Amino acid sequence: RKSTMLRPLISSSRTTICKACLPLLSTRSYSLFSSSSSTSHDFDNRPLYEGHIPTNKLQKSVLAVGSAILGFIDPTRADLIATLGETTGSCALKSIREKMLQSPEGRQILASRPFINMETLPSHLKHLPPSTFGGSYYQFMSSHGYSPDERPKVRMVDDEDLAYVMLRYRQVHDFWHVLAGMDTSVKEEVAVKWMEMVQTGLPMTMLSAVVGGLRLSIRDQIELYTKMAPWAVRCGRQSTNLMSVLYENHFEDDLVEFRKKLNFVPY
Amino acid sequence: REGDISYMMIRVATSSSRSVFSLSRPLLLGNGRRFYTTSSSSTPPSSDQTHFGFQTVKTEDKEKLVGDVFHKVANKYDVMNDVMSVGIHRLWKDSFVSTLNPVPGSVLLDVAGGTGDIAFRCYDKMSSLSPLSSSETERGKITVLDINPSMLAVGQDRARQRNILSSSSLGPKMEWVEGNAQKLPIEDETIDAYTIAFGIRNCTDIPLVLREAHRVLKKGGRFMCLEFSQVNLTGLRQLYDFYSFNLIPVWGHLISNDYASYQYLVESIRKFPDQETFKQMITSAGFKLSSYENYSYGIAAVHSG
Repeated sequence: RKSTMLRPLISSSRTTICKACLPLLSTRSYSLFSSSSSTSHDFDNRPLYEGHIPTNKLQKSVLAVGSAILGFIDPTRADLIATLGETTGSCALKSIREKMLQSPEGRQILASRPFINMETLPSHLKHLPPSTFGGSYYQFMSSHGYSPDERPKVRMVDDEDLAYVMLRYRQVHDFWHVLAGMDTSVKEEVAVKWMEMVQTGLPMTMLSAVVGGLRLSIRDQIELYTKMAPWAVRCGRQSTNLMSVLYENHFEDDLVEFRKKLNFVPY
Repeated sequence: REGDISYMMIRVATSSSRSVFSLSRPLLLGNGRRFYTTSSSSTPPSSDQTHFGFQTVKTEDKEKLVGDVFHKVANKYDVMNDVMSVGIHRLWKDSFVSTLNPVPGSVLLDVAGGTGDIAFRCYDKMSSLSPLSSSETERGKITVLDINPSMLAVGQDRARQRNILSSSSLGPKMEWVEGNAQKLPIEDETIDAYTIAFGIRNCTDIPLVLREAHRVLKKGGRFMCLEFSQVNLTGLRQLYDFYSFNLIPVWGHLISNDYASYQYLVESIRKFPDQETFKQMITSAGFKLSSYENYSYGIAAVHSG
């Protein structure tokens, strides 16, 4: 449903170089920087999905360092935080996908790739009582004025499946807030990041958890490290694989029951 | 299918939330390969098509595509120039204006002048030489012309900050005009010097731009163009290509959240004619004594006619 907007072609930096043209650049040294995800020699640089920007290892490292520094200086640049997550997350995303493939619900999610946005959320969500998962979610989002459409698109992940996994992780983040009963203050966000760190293993969550913690007052930090973080680690360990849950089917469930089903202990 | 290639592509299937990502592959140049430098840089595939970076697009679309790029980069344009060229663009522009050596009383036209780098340098040079008592015509005039209003707006902001727009200033009169280099809203033979810095490669019909320049210049007037060009020094060229293709779009992404526009930028540099060819084009437009000088071994070049 996105209109075909005029958009510059996203092209890759890694081009196929004719050996005869560049005698000084040996193919062996060049291949250190070649994109690792290509399957076919001829289709190395094609974007794999809308918005995909293929990048090689060197670019990913520069992007990771650059976005970490600039994102720290200006935390309102959500796109940089997103870039940091995407450039550092390849191993973790693979392991998340493996875990998802081990459960039937996870496999279903990967196959059908549900998308959470204003159009796909059920319209009766606002009528559900707050004791239900869906009602609680609606309360949470509307009280803060959030919209599920605000999550940045995935761009730097070089595999379509893994890009979906990354997107799913971003989109279910709000559901995890609801399950945890956590609001969006910095302290509580950091606690949720700790829980995500245990559940997903994404390096971005670790970075956010550590750096976010540095910004808090001493009293908040004490509370975070003595109570909230231990809770988060326990909770993350005990719950089922939260990425393999098709939350869309559980909006009408009672929140307490749903948590029990997932073995999720709120804070 | 090459004739239908448009760079608008990657459609998301509209039916359901299932197909989040489309598997459609973008249609690219027929042979599917790209090269850092292209030898056939200035010949478009067919008469109604032209290049947009490495892509082939319909001629009538190119202007809008370039427009989109510059709308997006406008507010961080100056920062990005500094980052990409590590500040060296300032030296190129200083040298360019010093070669031009505008004197008070000149009527200058800076095309694709956008954020005003060249215009402000000319202004400074001309005002420093102007005697305090000179009248408006004796002080001269600088017209900054650009097709893109966003870029002009940035330039006008800078002018405001420097207090140039007020009538009490002593330098030449500056005016900011939105217009197309291919069809200048300027009368014949009214300009002493025509400058275009890092703008001509974005124009759709370069020979037409050159002919227009010839038209508006007075007899004896000077045409000067500063543009990225081809590097012939082996070793440097590879390094430059590597830097351009790998790092410049990355800076674009980090600073302006816009990888694609900077990808376009580095590709458009490769598609621009080399020094000799461009010199021929200038001569064909009617200029005498055309010449060029390389800056930084050909990374940039000043052509004059």
